Amino acid sequence: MQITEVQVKKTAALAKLNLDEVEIKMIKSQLQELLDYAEILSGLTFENRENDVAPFDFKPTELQGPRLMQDEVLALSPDSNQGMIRVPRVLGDD
Amino acid sequence: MTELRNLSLSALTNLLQAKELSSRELTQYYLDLSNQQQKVLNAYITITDDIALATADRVDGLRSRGSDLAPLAGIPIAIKDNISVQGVPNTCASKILANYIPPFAATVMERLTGSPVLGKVNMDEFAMGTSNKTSAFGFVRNPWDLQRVPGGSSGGSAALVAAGSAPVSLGSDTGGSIRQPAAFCGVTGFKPSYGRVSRRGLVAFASSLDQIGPITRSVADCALVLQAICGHDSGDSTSAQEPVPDFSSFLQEDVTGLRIGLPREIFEKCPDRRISAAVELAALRLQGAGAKVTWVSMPYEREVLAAYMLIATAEASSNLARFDGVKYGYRGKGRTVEDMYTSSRVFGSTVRRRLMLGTFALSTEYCGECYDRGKRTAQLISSHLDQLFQEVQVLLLPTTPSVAFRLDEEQDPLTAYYNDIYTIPANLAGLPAVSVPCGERDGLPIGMQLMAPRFREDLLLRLGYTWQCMTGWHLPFPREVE
Repeated sequence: MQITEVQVKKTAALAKLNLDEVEIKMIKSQLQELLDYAEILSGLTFENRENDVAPFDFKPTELQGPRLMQDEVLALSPDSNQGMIRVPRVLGDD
Repeated sequence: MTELRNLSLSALTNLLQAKELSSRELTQYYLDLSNQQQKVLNAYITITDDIALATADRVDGLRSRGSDLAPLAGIPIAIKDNISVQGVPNTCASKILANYIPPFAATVMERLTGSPVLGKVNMDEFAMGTSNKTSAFGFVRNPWDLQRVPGGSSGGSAALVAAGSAPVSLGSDTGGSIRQPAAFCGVTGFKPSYGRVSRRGLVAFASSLDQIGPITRSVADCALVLQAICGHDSGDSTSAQEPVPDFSSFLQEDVTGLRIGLPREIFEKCPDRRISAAVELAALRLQGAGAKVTWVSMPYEREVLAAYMLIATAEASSNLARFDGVKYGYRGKGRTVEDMYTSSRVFGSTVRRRLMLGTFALSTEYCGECYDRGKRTAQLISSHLDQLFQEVQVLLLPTTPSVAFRLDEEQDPLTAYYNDIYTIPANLAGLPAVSVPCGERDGLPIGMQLMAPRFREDLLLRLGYTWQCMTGWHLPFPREVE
């Protein structure tokens, strides 16, 4: 699998990472090396089994326990106002 | 009185219970050592003197009034900085969480409520690394050789316990991050079975692989800590319902008839012959003590690493998506919310690379079934290990392919992953595993790893305890920080 700079840039956008041109080139070659190594898995064959993405029994249960109150959550946020977390504009002009 | 750091956790609890020693005295002793050695080792991110002493005083007060206390009440402990301690910064060694103070305590901390927290311990950023060089708060030094790494990602934890400035530390292990630094620092590091210890309050790296576990000076000490922290938690949806046995009851000095398997390919291909020889010698000594040792086959070294790379990074990509500057943590500047997201995600280079690989692996357009293929490979490996455990009861192998490497040694990404090549299988299959010291190479510790079927920590405790009764590799302190 050959990775291109376009793919690196698109992946960075998906991962919400700011990469400069130097980083893009460096990460491209590092990713290529790691992906080449991982190619070994494409030679494996797997039987068609149910529930075989977990190597052990896993039955998700509903979480229980205390939850944070609104003021506790807002105390953690970088910017809040009137009970809400404030962020830069999502839609529209400045 | 024998110097306190030479005493086991059991001996320390006896002194506390007999009121021959107060928790304040014990906590102050370790705080003094921690503060002295911090300038050399940089093993802490935050030392919590006041909080530790307040807890110690509270426990001393309860004890003087005859209250029933947990076995480890009053025993100081150091906590890796990705495990939430209420009211104390939980940085994950990252600029992003440098000022994040959790409003809740991790479940493991609730179960250790009487243990004074000495501080939050340095680590690789977001638990990604094998050297403790990726921390935004500076690297940690190995107390056996200050020019070498302590390992990672629980490098600070292993360094503290090795140097004697904490009797126990909690670390986390995703691909070997408890066991590898334990091996590099000559201490005992235990990764429990997946699901044994609640992950609630552990900042997630790879949710299907992460486990919290103890780093201590002995297997016996590990048993006491496991007793305190193991058990079902309804606040963790992956927490096992498995009953918690009396772990200390398995500390018997007897391995008669215990079937031990040595993975042939690992010993044959180990790049450092002195490491494989030391571990083989250990196996022979255990055979002399009555164990039955046999060679087995584990021929999938490359597949293990490839599966781990895809699974761990993909899950990390998903887990670390939450660090976007919105609800907590560092918020960068941005005219738009999208700009804010990207300017907030100021990860170090190792984390950035792993997130890129993981995001690529999850991208249907580019990588199709990458993650799924990784998980199915993990299932194949797990099934093979299940078959091996029909022939033997415990696997014995080196913990690491090398001893601690130099701080100034640059490792390419693939080589860095390779540091965990022997520890990763236990994470992929959810198995318990422990690293114990078994020798030395040019003054640097060598660790051997014991691995058992899921929920069979008893076998590891029995074998590890016997080994430590026969030998003294776990006893010395390094002279570098004396």
